[in-house]
Amino acid sequence: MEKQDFFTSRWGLILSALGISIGTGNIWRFSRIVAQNGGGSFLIPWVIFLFIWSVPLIITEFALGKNSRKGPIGSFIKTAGSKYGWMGGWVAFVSTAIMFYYAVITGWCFYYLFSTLSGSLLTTPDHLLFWNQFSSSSLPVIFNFIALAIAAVVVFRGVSKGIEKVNKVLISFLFIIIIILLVRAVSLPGAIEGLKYFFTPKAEYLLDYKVWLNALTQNAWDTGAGWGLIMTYAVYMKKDEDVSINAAIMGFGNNSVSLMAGMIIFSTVFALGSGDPLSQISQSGPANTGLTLIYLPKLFSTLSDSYSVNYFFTTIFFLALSFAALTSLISMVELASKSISDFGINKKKAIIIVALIGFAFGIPSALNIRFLLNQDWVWGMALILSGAFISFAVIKYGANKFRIELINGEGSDIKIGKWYNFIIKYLIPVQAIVLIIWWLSSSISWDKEFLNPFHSENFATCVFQWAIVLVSLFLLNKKLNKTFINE
Amino acid sequence: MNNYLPIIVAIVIVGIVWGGFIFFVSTAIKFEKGKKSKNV
Repeated sequence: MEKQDFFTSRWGLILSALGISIGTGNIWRFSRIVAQNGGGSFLIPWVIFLFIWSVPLIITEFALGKNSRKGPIGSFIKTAGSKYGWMGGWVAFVSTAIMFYYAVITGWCFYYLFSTLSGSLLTTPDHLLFWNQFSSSSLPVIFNFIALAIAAVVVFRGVSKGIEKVNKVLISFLFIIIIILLVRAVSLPGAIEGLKYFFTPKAEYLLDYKVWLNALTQNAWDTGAGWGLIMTYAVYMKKDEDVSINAAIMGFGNNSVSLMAGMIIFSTVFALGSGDPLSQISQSGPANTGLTLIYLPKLFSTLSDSYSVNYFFTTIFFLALSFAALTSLISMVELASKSISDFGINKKKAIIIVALIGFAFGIPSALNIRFLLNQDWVWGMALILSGAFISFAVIKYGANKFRIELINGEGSDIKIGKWYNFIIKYLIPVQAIVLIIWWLSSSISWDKEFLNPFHSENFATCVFQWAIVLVSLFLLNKKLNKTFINE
Repeated sequence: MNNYLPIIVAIVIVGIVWGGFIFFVSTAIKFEKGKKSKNV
């Protein structure tokens, strides 16, 4: 029997939880989505959904992990009942499937950091060519391996000596770097125009339902709520640890970083960009890399006349991006290994299995961006279903009972009111259903051959892959139960 | 009015998000101090 490891302090737990949520999505996706959805008009629904999607789901995940002391499968069996272990299996599978390609993206960040340090990124005359040469070589596979190896070593060292220590350092540094970049960006001549756009709401966008759905999607994908990752870290929180305040810090902390990243990018692009800054921020580019890996490095190289200043700011930007990606990847490796070790396999063996399988399954995404895009579409969407399953588990247990016993129980600093019951019982399921219907129906309109499952981003590829996993998990449900009920 | 709109939105959005973050962190610090003094 392995000895249970715990987070040694509340701040260690909070910084590790922030490490889950602060990822490339805050820096990479947020600004692009803000630009595409009318700037300040997007920020209003984005803040509303923080309250009615992200924070309630984060609270739920903390409570589930803390009380079950199991990964997602065990948590679902303990909370919703033995019939629903497959739902926990789905939550664990989806985050693991994301880990396969997220390790590749982390590898890209490492490569760009490495290229900045070596000077090659700042001196290249053509940043698009630089990206194309990198992505068409075997380097993404090598950096995928490096990213997974580092994450696995951290998880291998355990919760207190590995995950907690690393997150304390990286997330603290990340906040410092983001603040330095923010001060530099907003003091650039012309930055004010970017900030004006970023914060100006336009009535026509506010009345557009698509802006609201994009705001909800950003919250669902960006805060880590409903992924099962928080549930896994919560397994290692002490019994006398609070749930609700920690969850709020995580949700608000994540969105604070997004806001700062948005201000940095809008200020920089409006101050230094030539042509239409909005089209530059909102352009997707290959694998949505346009802004971060092609356009921003180009702008950073023209930040000032001094090479050393440009070198410094580009380095800390890619350092921040690498830290953000790595801390999220660590949590995905922990979730996958915890889910395997819950079946009685030694945790250290489980980590090696996860790292090896993760590397092997990441190779197609490392070699082929279309494959990565396909996986991002299929499993990114699946996260919304994961969120719905988590709220289902609470409904099955009894929302009021869950709130009183598991959220407001031992260790709670504050008591959560009945508003939680309403959000978890009605608002989250409704939001999840609306989002899934909207995304899937939109995907029908953007591909004439929407029934061809071999297209990278369409209706059929999503439904086909989901169906295989859901049916397999459903058939395995009895086996899943045996493992956990026999304990 | 239009000139002030981005300033108002910035104050409200930044106030809620950063203000919320600072509020919850300081609340957690307060509770931690309370727990520590109880243990002493």
